[in-house]
Amino acid sequence: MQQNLSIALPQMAVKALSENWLFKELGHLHWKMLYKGLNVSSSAIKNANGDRLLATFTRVTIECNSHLQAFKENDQVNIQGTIQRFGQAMYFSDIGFQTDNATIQAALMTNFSVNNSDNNKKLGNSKPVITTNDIAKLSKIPPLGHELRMLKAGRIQQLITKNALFNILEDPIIELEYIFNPYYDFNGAGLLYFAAYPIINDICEARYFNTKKPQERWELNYATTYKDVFYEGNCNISDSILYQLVEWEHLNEHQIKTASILRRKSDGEKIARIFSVKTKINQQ
Amino acid sequence: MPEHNKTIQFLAIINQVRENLGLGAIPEISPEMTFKEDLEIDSISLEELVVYVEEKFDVELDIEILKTVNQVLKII
Repeated sequence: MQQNLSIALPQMAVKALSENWLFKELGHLHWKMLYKGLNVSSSAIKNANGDRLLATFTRVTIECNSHLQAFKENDQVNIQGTIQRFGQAMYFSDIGFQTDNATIQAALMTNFSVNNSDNNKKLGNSKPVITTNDIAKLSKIPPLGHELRMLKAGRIQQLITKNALFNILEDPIIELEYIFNPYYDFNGAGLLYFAAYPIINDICEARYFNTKKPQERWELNYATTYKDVFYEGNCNISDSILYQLVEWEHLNEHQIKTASILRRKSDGEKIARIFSVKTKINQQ
Repeated sequence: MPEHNKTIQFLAIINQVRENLGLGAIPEISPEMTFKEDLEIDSISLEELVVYVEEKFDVELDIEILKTVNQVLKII
């Protein structure tokens, strides 16, 4: 997949490339490559019982060579992506965004789920009925998926990335409640949108850091360099989210790493872990 | 393929998946064993197991209802 884009205001937020737009676009590109490879329309992907299947994002990482504010209005972006599969249910894409000044490398992983009730807490794994599949096959689960299962199983204590070393911690430094904006946070299938998770994280993170340093505005001073979202569950619209910041640290004089957990308030279940590196904009 | 050989090959697949998860090999399986509780195979690894079984035995497994070793033994 290859396409071009001119950055305009709909793709931007807080003087940078909008991370919310970026996640939605990445998801859309992944999904487009997937159903094109299966030679069907998105709504025609069904399991053996004829139930409509949804692509469920299980992990998404984005990594910028600088930060999202390096993407400017009217920049021309070249977008290239590839997708591979393990079996018929797990799909892995790599998508690159490149301008003359900046790059983003993203990796996305999905499986398929079926929702046979109105309860978003009860999504089950499923497998599509496929007649032809043109997507290249992997012989084993790649590192993106392997790290996810090891983390979910509690078998790793640290996540080592190019940008930072994150400790896998449970005890919150602080906890904040996030009340949904349903028009923004829930997708067309009635599920908490995968693209909403990192923004819920950033809204709560900004609330915390703006309280610590009221003279500074976190959202204007820091832009995302790295984000890694491990998805573990979904949430009903009547619920709310508990944001738990479990680790934060200065990596150097202009970068901060944070690690957080999002939980459903109703039952305390973890629905995501999010690891992030942000760069102070005016010091780079 | 004799039943006993199929069980041994399925055990080898289970141990491959467990090894990928950082778990030790188990010496034998019994039909009532559950993937999640008894074999500590999580949802992603269960999908991995399904892929290996389907390729090895040329069968189709329904991951939506897959809970026990016996469900696989009956199909292979």
